[in-house]
Amino acid sequence: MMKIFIYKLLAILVGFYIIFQLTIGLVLKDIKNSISNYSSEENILFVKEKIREELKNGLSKDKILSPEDAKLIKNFYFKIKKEIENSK
Amino acid sequence: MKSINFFKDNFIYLLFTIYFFLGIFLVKDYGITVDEEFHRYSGLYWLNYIAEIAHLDNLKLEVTQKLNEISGHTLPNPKDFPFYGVTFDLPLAFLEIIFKIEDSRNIFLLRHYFNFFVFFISSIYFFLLLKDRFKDNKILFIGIILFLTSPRIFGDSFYNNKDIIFLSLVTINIYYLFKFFDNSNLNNLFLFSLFSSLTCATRIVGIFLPLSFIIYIFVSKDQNSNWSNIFKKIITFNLIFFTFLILFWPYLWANPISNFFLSLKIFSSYPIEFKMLFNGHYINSKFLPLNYVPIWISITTPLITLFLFLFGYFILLKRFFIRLVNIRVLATSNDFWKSQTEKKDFFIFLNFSAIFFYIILSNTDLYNGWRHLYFLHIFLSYIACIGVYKLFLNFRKIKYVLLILTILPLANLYGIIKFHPFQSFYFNELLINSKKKDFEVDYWGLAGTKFLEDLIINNKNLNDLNLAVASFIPLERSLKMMKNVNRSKINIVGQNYEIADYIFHNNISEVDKSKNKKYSIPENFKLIDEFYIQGFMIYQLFKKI
Repeated sequence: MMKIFIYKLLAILVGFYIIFQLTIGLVLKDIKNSISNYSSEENILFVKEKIREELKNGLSKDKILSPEDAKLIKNFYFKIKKEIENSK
Repeated sequence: MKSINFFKDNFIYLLFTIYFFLGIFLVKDYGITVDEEFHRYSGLYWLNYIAEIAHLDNLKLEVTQKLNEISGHTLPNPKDFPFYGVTFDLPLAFLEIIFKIEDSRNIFLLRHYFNFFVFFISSIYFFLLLKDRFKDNKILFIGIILFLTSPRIFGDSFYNNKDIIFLSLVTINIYYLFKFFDNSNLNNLFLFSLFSSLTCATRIVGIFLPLSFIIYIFVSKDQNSNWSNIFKKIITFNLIFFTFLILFWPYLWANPISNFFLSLKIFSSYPIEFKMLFNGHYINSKFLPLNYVPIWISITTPLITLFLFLFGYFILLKRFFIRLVNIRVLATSNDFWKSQTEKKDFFIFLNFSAIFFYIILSNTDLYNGWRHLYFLHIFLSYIACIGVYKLFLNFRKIKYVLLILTILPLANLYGIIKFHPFQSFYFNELLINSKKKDFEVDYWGLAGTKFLEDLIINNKNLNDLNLAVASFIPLERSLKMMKNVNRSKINIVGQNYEIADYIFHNNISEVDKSKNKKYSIPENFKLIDEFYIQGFMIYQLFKKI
């Protein structure tokens, strides 16, 4: 009886380990991988380089903003400025 | 008729003789790989440590001199990586000193000869192991052919002083374990314990053999055997095993227990992480996809071996389930096997399955394809032989099927010839043409020596040539395998493309090339040469314009 119990226990443990690794383990691995990818030095350098590139592209154009966006940002800027001036 | 019988009786001697002389003849064709210099360094480092402890002043002086000559900004210091086993590196360092070998090409050639020799010895053990199990000459022939002619294993057997040495020791170890299964006397137990410690001292993952041995002792217990005998065997084994393990592994001498556990920890989580190209994407060596090992094994193992292995594995799996569902409280024979041969088959099946699925599920760090798991080749070959055995039984009356089955494994030789001397770049027909650029090929810089030699031949008048390397491969280590007179002609400048005359490029990168441009070829360089094998780009050469 003891022998059967040990075999069953082992089978359950192995089964549990496989199911755990294929479900929760896999999700955890994906999360860790994503965090590692986003926070990696390589990715930070890539983002920095991308921003630099976009700024250069923007400077090479005659106009960076569309007339509507320019007007919107201007209005927003003046509104903020006014609020700051009115505050104590 | 007499001559046929003579051939039948002696074919194996003929096969091994041909293989031995072929190997000796081919050794010089192979280049050097990037890890070899570190392992030579490691061997000398530990030899120096032993000379210091044993107060061997003359030896220490010579070793220190050699150690001082070793340089290279990309070469790791063994002080920072002391946990590697030195069962191969240490004796080779000693031989280098004893025979006063000074030229680097000769030093590495000596290592290559010994590498091949160890694998050759292990193939004899594999033959003996099969002989005890199958007894049929045709199966023995097929088994040996499958073991020797897997192109990646064949190629690596000349220079891979880690994975192939480990595979060889695992093979020898399993042979002695099976000897112990057949006859549980002290002599066999001693030999098994001795080789277990040697295997484990080479690579800590070898611990799986002692562990499964202990489990097996318990599972093998029947109503006639008593507990005191079982514990006697286990205690004797452990005593011999740990004594020799410490003896063979100088790293354990200072602090056996904590250093042993530290090595175990490092095995499951290697301290360095990097990106590698796998299936068209750059993946992190610490977060491997589930299909990493299955894909690598299935695209780099010859199709005939793969087919026979899958068939053999299916037979063993079926047998395992039948035995499992028929376990009874009071049984006349063992629960999992009915004979000694079944016991051996079950051991192979259980160990292969446990290691294979554990590696896949446990997120163990791997890189450079599946070379760390080359020790599974003994299991693959053995299980493939079970497949052959079953096919022979099923088709025993159809003579031509038997003939085809016997001759078919020889097709592996085609892969060996086609890729020579780069068998380690072998991929089977499952990898379609469009996918050939999606995998790392020369991750160990094996073709580096050929590249440098060709460069010298094509630029005879050039001296002090500046060569940049647009790859993770430390190409300067390949210079060591070149003729002395040519070494100083090339100056490797890493990624300093501004001062380079030429750039070496291959598809090996530790960073994601789509994000990191460190290996991008500058626009003022033009492709002038490239080397392909069977559609796989091995390297490219760019020249400044």
